[in-house]
Amino acid sequence: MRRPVQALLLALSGLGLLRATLLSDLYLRYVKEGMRPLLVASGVVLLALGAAEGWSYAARLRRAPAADGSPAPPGDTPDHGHGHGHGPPWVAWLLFLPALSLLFWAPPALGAYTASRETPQAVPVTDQDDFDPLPATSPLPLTLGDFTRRVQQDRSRAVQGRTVLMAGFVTPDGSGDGWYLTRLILNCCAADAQSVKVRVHGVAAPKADTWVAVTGTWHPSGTLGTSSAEAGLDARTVERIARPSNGYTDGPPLVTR
Amino acid sequence: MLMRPCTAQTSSRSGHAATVPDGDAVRAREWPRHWPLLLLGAALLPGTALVVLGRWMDAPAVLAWRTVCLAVCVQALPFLLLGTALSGAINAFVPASVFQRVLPRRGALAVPVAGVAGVVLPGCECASVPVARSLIGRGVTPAAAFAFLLSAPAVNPIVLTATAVAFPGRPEMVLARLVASLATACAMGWLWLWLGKEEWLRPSVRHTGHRPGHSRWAEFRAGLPARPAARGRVPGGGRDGRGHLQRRRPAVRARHLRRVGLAVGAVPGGARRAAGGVLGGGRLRRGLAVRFLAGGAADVHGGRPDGRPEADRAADGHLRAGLRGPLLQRHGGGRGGVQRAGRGILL
Repeated sequence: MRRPVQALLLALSGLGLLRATLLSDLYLRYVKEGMRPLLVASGVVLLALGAAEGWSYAARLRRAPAADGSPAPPGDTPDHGHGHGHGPPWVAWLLFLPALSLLFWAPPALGAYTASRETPQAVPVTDQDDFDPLPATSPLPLTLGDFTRRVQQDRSRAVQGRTVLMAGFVTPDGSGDGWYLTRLILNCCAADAQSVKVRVHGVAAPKADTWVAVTGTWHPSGTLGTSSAEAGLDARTVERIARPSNGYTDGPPLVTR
Repeated sequence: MLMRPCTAQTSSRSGHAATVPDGDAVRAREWPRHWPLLLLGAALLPGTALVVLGRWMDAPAVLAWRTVCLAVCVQALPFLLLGTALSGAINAFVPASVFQRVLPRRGALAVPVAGVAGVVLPGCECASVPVARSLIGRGVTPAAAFAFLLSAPAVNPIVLTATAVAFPGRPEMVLARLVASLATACAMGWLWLWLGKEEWLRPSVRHTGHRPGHSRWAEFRAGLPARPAARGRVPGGGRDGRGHLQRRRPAVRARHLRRVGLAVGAVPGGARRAAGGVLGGGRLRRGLAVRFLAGGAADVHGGRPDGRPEADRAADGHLRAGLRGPLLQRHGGGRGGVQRAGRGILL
């Protein structure tokens, strides 16, 4: 890889990062929100490195114009293109893929496809022993994880008979009938996303990957307050919402009534 | 007869094209035989490929795959930059003596020390890889650098804090993680000492450390893995990657010419022809005798390890038979005399 190409790669990577963080919220599709300052700093550094590299290359070109007709300036890597095994390996060209992808062809956030490939019980729900009493509002905004915990671990059965409000995206059941209200939760980046799902009963499945807010009551199945209870909801209303900016967290629905 | 040198010149300059007979050259400039088909293919194929590839790229599985790949890249980039900058800084600012002083000489002891040193590097393995490489380049035992490589992502302050947050009220988890990670790193380091092979972790020659007379900034840049690797790659070569020899060419040339001059004194005739004679039919090229190149130049084996030429010697060290007589006369009889004389000229 020649020096101008390296400079180009650095600058493109920096531009891609800056575009994804400063000009848009693209970065939230891939990493957590806390990465933003680091990504901005990296973008600035990469862009500066690319500019410096290109500038020094141009300066060298200008200082030593090709007098003898050979285009290679003195001090440029003398062996590039000769296959001596020096210089960045050809694999380095692959670095253009993420840079260009970030700039021009950013893939969407993970969604139903990823969530549907995990078993419904693979939920990052931690054990909890003592539960606070639920607030009296109705419908009661809950996160999917909270709802699952209330259903499967709360011995006091506080959630029984309550109308809850939850938000997530639609993941159709693999078998064809039924669907899950789903959230994907990041630990580090999109590569380690885990899903938490609540099965929705009583309403036909909207299109996969649409974000919806659902109100309803617990779907009686198993014994409430034990692990035999299914995290399911008898839906009363299903409403389309926009994807929240913090789509990779298990937050309560932002819509209020 | 007059034309021959001329055609020879052009054919040697412009390759085979000039030697092709005229008819072929004309036909080569015509359209290819199936040019409409070719044109159509050139118009359709890339478009079709683009569409097919685009549809494939938008399949849910491929989209998820692209998202995950990009996420890994984005997440790793800041830490990769940090590690790269750190390895460059180590290369430029930390003298190798520091490592020799801090790390025990025995590898078995250096491994745990390096493992504990991993505590100070915040970040993930993306950052520790270039740093470990830089350490090996500075003469640290590969086993110790390996232990550092393993321990740094597992026991740094950020990771320990995250563990403490993930297990509130259970500090023994933090301790367990610290101890277990260190033990693993040390065990692997010792295993490396026991079974490892040198070439598995090849040191990078770019991490030469700070050398007097060189700019620290240039060394910092050279220590960054993304630099054009040819710079300073040649062991002992100049910083511009050309090796010492080219930079010293004027001096080498002067020495050569002095020796050639000696030969000229011994053999009558024009200087060039005489030099050629001494060299056994060699020629002068750009002022340098072709068969007279010093060890390091032109990759003749026998250069000194530091890249400077070994005692200059002819590639084929024999004197032409025709020279023996005059040399013998000049330097006294006997085989040894000839050899000594030859040495005087050639070595």
